[in-house]
Amino acid sequence: MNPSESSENPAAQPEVARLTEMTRTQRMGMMARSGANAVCGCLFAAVFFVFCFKIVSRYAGGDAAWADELTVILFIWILFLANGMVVFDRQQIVFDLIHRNLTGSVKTAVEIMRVLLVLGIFVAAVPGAIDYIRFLSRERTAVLDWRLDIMYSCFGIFMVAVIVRLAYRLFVLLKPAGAKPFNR
Amino acid sequence: MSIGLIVLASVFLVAAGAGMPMGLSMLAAGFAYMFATHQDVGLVVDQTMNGLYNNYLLLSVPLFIFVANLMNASGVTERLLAFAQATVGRFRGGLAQVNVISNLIFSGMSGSAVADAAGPGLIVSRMMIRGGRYPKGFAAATSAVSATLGPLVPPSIPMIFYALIAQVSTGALFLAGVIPALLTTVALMAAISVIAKHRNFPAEAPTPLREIGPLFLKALPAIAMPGLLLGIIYSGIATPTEAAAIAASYALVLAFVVYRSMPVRKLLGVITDTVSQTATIGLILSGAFVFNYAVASEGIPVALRTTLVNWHLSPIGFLLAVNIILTLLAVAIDEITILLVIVPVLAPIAQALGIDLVHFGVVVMLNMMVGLALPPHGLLLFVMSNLTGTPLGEIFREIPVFILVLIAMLLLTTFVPEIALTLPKLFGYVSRH
Repeated sequence: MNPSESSENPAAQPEVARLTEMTRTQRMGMMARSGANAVCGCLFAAVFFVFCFKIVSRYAGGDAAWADELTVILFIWILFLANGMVVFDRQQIVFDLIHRNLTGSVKTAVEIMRVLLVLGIFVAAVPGAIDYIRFLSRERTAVLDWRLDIMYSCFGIFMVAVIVRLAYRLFVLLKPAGAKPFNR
Repeated sequence: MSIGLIVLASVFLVAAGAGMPMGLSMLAAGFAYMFATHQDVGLVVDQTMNGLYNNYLLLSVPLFIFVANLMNASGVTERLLAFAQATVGRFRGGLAQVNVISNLIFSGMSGSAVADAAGPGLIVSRMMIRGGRYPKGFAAATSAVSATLGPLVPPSIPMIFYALIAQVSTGALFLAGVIPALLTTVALMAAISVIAKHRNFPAEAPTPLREIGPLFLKALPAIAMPGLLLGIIYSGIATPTEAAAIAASYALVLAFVVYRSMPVRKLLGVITDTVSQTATIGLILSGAFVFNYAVASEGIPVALRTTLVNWHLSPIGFLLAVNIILTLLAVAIDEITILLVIVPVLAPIAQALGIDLVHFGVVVMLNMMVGLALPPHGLLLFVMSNLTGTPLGEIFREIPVFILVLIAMLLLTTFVPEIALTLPKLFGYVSRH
């Protein structure tokens, strides 16, 4: 949507107001999300086309073993990029039987506790995980002969993205109630 | 119970119970397990990435989700509804019958129960509620229970996961779901007939016979999808994973060439939705690989197997125990989590007891169906409540009779394996014990 459209369309006003209400950090977050979303969309399209190419080439007598490996690698990258940077927590599968029945400060306290727990574990695990991924630099994928550390680095990106998101969430939760910024 | 297992379970239960996404909670629990057992945390990366890298069949999941979203966005649903209404709308409670039939056909394209509920389920619910013709709770409950047919009808995403877990043929599993799905459809329609008569629900104006043919032809390309898929897989034209890509191409052709019902711009939204839905399932799958590693390291499958063997359970006794365990778990845990975390423990035991794993897979799918519509945590109940704005309490009041129908089908399939195995055997499947 271009700016002129948004200013003429009354329905778009709340969204514009919300966007202007965003802090710089939030705008950067949303831009990163849009970028990752576009990348994931392109990767998905690539998975589909490589698959189709593989089926056709098999009947044309070609060997497309590389296509199998490429699609798997693309799939893995979609998964971790999207989970780290695209999918909101509210879109995830959540066991909310207990949590949804909580209200007020108890709900906030429980949310702070869960964020602290997972954030703490992820922060503690990052060095070991990164170390393992770096260790894989000596290994290569079976068909394409690509470096495995680069292929698996999406897991590291995912972990860092989760840490940033959780840290930001914690920041929002710990701010005084009146000062909470716009939060999606 | 070892300290590692206590840490794994505690972190998972606390994080997930407090509302953290399931997949993240599982990964966090996996890391905590590695810390507690002094193992390299890199093992979490290893299990997750190698699990995904080595299971090529998983690639069919995003493609089947894409097919479902594409079908929903391209107006195929309306064509199916028109055909379903022409054939069964004339009976008492006709729209509720339309709901079941259209969901059956739609699940033959989508592979996802949630997509079924959000597609035909939502549209028929709205039609039922309009003008107060049906109580809102009944309309939403009918849509929820109809959408449970998804896991049984090929292509089924839960079946693909099960095929990976149990190492059975996806094609045989797809075929095994057909008869139970048709029987469940008949049972649900019979239940609706009785309820409709008892509560005096309306019938729709009958469609003249000459109009049914053209409506069928309009819906045929969509109705043909499951047959096409099974044909492709069984004729050896393509593997199940490749069949997913062919199904996606077919859906694109339907949307843009045959029906011409979708602007290209809308395709971007469909892809975005597909990526998000794939990612949410994939995150749980990643966590499940780590959980399965921990569970295997702790020797739980062996211990459980020894316990059950010591109980001297017969195969039927085991299956009934599984039904009870899975139903109880479904009250609290999401079906995909049950499938990816609990079923890998149960499948080897079933095999050791001489239960055919394709039959066991269908029993697991029927359990998932019950779980998807079972209060208080049935996913489809929440989906329908959100989509139709119906209070959960109203849906809870209407759902028990349908749950009974599903449980009856579950027991029937448990006691009579041939319901599931007849079709696969006809196509050459040899039972492995």
